[in-house]
Amino acid sequence: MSIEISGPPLVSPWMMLTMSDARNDIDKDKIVIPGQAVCDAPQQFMRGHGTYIRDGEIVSSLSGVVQQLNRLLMVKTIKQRYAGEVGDVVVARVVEVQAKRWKCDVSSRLHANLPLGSVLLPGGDFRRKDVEDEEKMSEFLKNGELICAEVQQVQHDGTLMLHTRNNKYGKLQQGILIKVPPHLIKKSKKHFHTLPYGMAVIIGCNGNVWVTPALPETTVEEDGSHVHEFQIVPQDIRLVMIRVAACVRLLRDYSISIFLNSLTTCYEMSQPYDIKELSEQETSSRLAYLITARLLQELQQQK
Amino acid sequence: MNSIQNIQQVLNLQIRLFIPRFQLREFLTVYNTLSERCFNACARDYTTSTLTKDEGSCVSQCIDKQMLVNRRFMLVFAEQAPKALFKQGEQSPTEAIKSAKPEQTPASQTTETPTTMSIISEHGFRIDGRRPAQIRNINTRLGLNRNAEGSCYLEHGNTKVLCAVYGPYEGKASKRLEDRCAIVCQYSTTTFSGLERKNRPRGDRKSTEISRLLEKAFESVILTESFPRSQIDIFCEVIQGDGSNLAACVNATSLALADAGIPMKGIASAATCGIVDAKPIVDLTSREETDLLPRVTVSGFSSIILLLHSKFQLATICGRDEVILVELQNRLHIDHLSVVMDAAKATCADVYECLAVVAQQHLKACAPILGH
Repeated sequence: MSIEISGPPLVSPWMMLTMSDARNDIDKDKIVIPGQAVCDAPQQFMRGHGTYIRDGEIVSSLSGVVQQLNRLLMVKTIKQRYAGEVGDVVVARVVEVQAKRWKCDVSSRLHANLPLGSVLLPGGDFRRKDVEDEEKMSEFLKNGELICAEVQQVQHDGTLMLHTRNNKYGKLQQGILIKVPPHLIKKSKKHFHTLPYGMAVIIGCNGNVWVTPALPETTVEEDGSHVHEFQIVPQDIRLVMIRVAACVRLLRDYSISIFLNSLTTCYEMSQPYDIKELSEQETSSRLAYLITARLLQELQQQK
Repeated sequence: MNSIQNIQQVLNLQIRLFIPRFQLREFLTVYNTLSERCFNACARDYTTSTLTKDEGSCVSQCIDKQMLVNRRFMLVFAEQAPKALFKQGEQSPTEAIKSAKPEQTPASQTTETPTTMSIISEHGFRIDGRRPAQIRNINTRLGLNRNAEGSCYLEHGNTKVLCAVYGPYEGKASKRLEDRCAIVCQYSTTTFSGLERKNRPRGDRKSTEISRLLEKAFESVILTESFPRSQIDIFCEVIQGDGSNLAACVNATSLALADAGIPMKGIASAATCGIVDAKPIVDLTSREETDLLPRVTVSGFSSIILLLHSKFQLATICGRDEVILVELQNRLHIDHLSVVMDAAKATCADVYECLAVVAQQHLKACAPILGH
């Protein structure tokens, strides 16, 4: 194997960081680290999430940005493990099959629960789940399988309850999974996107991005098993998928937030390069810089 | 038969020719090794062209010691070699040397001077040229490990530490606590980190002790109650150990935790402090930590590692410093305790300033572009 030694990149990561426009919404004075006082006049404020009181002073317990809501001061973390919210679309991995429920890893603090009652089974929504279904649970979903689900409920201890009571949710079969830090995912109305390049992508709120030839359409046969036939994906589609996956990784490496527009912009602008070039530092740093500039320009035009 | 005799003659000739050359080479090797060792051990003040008083005495003592060792070695060799080569009844040549030896050794002992190398030189500098209360350069990089929630690479001079924080996640059921999160720490050193190559990078008594110390320290820093039934893993690896390893690990871990966005009371900072001639020295290197250097201190060489977190940022809460971990190695006179504590606290404050700047810079860099 040959080793390639390159010079320093033309656009260093630090140049990316100093793009003041890109982060102008973050006031530098408002960034706090744990143990740092949040405000100058503690008597006038109430302490909110991410703060505690030490010697009559409001002090941050998190590393993040100070937010103020009237008289309430709170600290919102910039980087954190996924904490679920109701309605989030997540891509999860089944880790355990228990009685009447599956345990799923959603890269959250605790494993999420997917109750047997919350999955789509033959017979429609009103069908009662009986003992037979319980016995067949590991036929529906086995350990290690990927699913796409929605957060139905957040319990008081932080455990997420998932459901897949919709055709668009369910087992994921053929595709590429890319893990990104969850803070890079931008929440939007849609997280299922069919891209105009002949493939689709699911941007899970928990930081799992699923690149797939087609969105899952769970159809359930009368005998209860999920019908899914492995298809041979044509080579051009596969190449597109790999390019999209490379784009997601590029956005992750330069901490550009991931949503439909940034992904398609990245894809369009990466066209002049080979896919393997996208992982090289020189190309990727230049590309990231240009993408950020383009996205900012679009944002300003909208305003 | 003729040919065999010829070969023997040739061999004899060769041995006769080679032995002087061999001896010369042997002598040169011994001489070079000796001068290099003594130079490395003693010479350390490069500001003057001549040897200082300390260095001079050290060199002479070093040479004496090396020569004694050599002599002793030769004696043993001379005694053992004939036994192996000749029959036992024959007289070995060591008897004569042995009889001469007891006369000489007391003489050499009396000439030995009691002066030894001090850790602080006569000009007030330490071995690496620092002042007693000066810390080494701190160099950090955060967020290197993509798979970990938070990670940090930290250098204190030549001490290099890599730290990764995973979690909080749903860990093993055996470690699960119902009211707070469990903190599991693993301290390891690379096999090439120290002066001697190690076979076990982790799991030995010392590593286990340091792991437990780190766990206990960070249990009091992290707000564990906010993550019931979860687990946080902390991995610290010393890539190069040049003293103050534990302190470097604490500093690296607190930065990694800040990077991971885990709620804490504050950023912990740590410092090592020792005492020589009733004077504190901070941020010890491995040479200052080891017993290799001779010391004149009566109380012995002690080092305190103490950590305090969240140094005050505002002048109003000046003096508010909370100690989360104290480790004392060797013995320390009680009168020196307050001196060492004060020096270590002051150093912790210095280190905290460095860490706070790094953490804040990194946070800004972490924020996603076009996030909101």
